[in-house]
Amino acid sequence: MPAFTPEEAVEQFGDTVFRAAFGLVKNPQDAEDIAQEVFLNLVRHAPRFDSAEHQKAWLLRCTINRCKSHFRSAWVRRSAPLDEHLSTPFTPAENTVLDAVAALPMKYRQVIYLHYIEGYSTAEIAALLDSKQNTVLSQLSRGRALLKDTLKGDF
Amino acid sequence: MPDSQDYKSAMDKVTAGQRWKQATLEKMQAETGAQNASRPRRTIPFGRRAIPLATAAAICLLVIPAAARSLTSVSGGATAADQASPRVATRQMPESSADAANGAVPFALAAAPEATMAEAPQDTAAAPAYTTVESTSPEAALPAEARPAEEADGLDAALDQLDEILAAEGEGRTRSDVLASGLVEGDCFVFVLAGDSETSYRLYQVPCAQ
Repeated sequence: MPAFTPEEAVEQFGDTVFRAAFGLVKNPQDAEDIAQEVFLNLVRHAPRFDSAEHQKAWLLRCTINRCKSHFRSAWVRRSAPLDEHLSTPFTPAENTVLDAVAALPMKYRQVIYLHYIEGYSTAEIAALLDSKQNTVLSQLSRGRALLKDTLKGDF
Repeated sequence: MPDSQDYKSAMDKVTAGQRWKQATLEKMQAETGAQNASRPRRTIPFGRRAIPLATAAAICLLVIPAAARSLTSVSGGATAADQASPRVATRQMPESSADAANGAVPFALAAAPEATMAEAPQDTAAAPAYTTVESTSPEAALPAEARPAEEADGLDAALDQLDEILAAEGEGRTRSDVLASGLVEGDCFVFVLAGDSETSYRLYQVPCAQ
């Protein structure tokens, strides 16, 4: 499938980008700002894409990089984390698992998100994050182990 | 106990609101308008990149005079070798007016072959066929947009070209020294070879043979 125009991309990948940002920062307001900045970058840089899948991967990579910058900013370090959720109610079990994932270090959280939510294989995650597949495998394994430990169950 | 299914169902509930999408589209339109209003930066395409015209002009101002100087010294200028040996550069007058009429060059400047050969390698060494990239791994040294090249058409021809380039460098490298490869936009193969240090890599760009 060919790549979308930036305006079409908002419609097609808006949820994906916002969800990724929310999954990594767990704050809807910050996620909205990050996702918006990602789409503005799409307009500013106008990269060429081979396909819609390539465009989606670029948007996700851009989102992850933005989230990392967000955590490095002084404002985030000084501010207390806001306990805000979306209007859609989460079940207690969902809240527990979201909190557990949010407590993971960023390097584990991003591979957990890309594997479980976006359904990428470890090879695809390695390509997307510009990393080695073995590194992704070990990060996924350690992230899972930490979640199992926190949730006292299977993941 | 909560598990990955709860994680998936929780994230499925997360969607970007219509209000956010509308605001984003408006900001994107404003950004596009601002870009169109500002004077576009003129660029020259170079591989998959676009070099600003001012940068290209600066390079030309430095490179062209240097190239012209080196060409002059090879093909007829008065070099140090010329001055040392009168045999190297001699002005030959046409034997007769008939020679001149037949197209003989009135003042042919003959450069000695050995002098030309001595100068030539310096010219090729001045322009390496690769770009040096500092990176943590060969894969990371590839351009960000590079796609896998393993099954691309023309890979063998590109590797043949790479072998020729490497042979010309004379460092004994071949295609077997390639650490990573990729295909970039503009139909060019890129090959990564080890550089001069552990974190330095050489990036060779070879156009696809059509």
